[in-house]
Amino acid sequence: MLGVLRREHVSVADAAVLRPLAAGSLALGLASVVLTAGFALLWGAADIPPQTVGLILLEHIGFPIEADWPERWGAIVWQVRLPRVLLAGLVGATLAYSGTTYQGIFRNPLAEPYLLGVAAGAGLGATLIIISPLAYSFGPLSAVPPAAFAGAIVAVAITYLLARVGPVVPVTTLILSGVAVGSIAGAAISYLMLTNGDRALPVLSWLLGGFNSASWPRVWLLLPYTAIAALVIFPFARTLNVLQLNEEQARQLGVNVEAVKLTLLVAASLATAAAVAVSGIIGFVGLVVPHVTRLLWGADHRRLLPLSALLGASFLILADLVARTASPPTEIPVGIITALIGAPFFLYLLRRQRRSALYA
Amino acid sequence: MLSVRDLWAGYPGRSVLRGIDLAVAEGEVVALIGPNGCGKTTLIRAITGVIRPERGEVRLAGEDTRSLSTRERARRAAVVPQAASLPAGFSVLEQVLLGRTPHIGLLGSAGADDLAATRRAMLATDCWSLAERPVEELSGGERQRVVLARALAQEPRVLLLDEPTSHLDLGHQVRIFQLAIRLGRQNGMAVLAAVHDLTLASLFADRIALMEDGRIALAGTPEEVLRPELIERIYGMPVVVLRHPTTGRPVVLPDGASRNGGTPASLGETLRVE
Repeated sequence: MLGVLRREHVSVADAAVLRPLAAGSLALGLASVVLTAGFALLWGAADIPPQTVGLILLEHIGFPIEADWPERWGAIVWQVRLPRVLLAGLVGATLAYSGTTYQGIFRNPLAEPYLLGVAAGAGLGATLIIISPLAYSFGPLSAVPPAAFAGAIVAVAITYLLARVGPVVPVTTLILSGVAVGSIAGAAISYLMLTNGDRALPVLSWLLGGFNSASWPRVWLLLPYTAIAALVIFPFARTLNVLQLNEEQARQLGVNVEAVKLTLLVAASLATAAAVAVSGIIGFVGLVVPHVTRLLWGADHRRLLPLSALLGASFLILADLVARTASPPTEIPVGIITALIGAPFFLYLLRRQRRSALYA
Repeated sequence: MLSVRDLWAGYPGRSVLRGIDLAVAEGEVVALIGPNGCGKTTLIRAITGVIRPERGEVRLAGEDTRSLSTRERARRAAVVPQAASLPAGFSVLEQVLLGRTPHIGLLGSAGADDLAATRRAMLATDCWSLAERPVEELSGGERQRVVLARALAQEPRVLLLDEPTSHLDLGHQVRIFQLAIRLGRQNGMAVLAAVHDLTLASLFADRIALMEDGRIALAGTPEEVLRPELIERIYGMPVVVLRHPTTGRPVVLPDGASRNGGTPASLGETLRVE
């Protein structure tokens, strides 16, 4: 089923099982990111010839090229399109590998990176800033990412502390307190939107998520969080496989379950909080991309984590491309696109593989 | 190899184990019997560190478990649980390889040694031919062999069986039990097996430890422990003890014709009278 070992007699030398991340699938994932990023850089409201886009990029990374294009084009490619593509890719990768991590820890197909209140907390933080006078004093959006980040961290911390029973944090209580914290923050957001009708639209557009305010500072804001979280989480891939047994059996196999859970949840939540802070609440990616990856490449986290990150990156770059080019000059919120193209594809895979072992 | 001294343990607000003393030597097989709720599974949990002892000590291969890390403990003791989870989407070989976890560590990856140990465990339990099969296709007996292989791949000094065969048919019950015990003996492990079936306990164990209400009521040879008046008192049911015709071991049967119950025949008579 996993394409690991096909022959009747398995030789110990043929240890594909030890190196599950095949070069082929990794190359495929990388190629899809490069391809979608390339498309997204070439495509846009301004009609810039493809070779000029390439020359602009080369000039900016230091090649001695004579700039014979309008200055405006240079700014569009380097200050608008490139950070936007990079940000969409980073957010997509972050949501996808965080979702994989959450699903691995909770052993629940409905787990996603917003499960513990990250999204609702970030939403409340952002809403408070957008409706406050501060929004004007700092410029309408610059104060939003830090406020959203702080809101997300506070919400997850409250969820975690509420769920703790002595030294352990049972998974079910964690999910339920996440739901409770999320509802409280959601109620507060709705109330604030209703009582500040003139600001309801900017709040709503932030909540729906998107990359129309993408910029280099936002890329640099997200990058360290997602890079560090990935460096923490990815080495735990094999341990996440062990956690697919129940927690008692994982402990009897020598895994310090509570410590692993805490480490991975903190890392994934920080990365998700940073992603939400710079892009708003983009649904669907963190829930479905891990499932799609699992349906395509199997349940082994040593494959799932890197491949879901690559798939998430290319998926969100593509979705954002559609979001900004489908009906110019208005942009469709990217969350609508992710659901609109993601859900049918997911359903198709699910039906095609419904006899598959993964969801037995 | 395994020694438990004055062990108290349980769950918040409720001590289940109340002063357990028990020792299992290298190559010895001890069956743990007792009615539901007497603490057999809790004892296995306390030995493997899933719950923390309140008092007393557990020693695995001479080391006090309190001074061992989770990982070191898992290298000394492995469990074959009653209903082991075999996560979907992994082949049998990958499942058994998970047994190498305590030898690999949190962040490491499996190497050729681990694969060799996995292969040995799978050959010994006759599931090497299942290596590439997805677990969803396995029968109940095959699943338990895979779980046994996983525990053996752990290369423990102490093998703990927690009712590993209670949901299998008679043939598989006996075969899996026999296999686990033979492999445990061959590899010089101490085997502690919680079982419900008193006949299995009698036929395969060197000694039997009878638990009652969080304590060991009596430990000894099957002949010493499986006495009708003792079983009757602890299980609350009248029994007769017979000799197995070929092995001579004691066999416990419910005494159906007694005052407490009613045989189908006597039930029939009652109905006829009415």
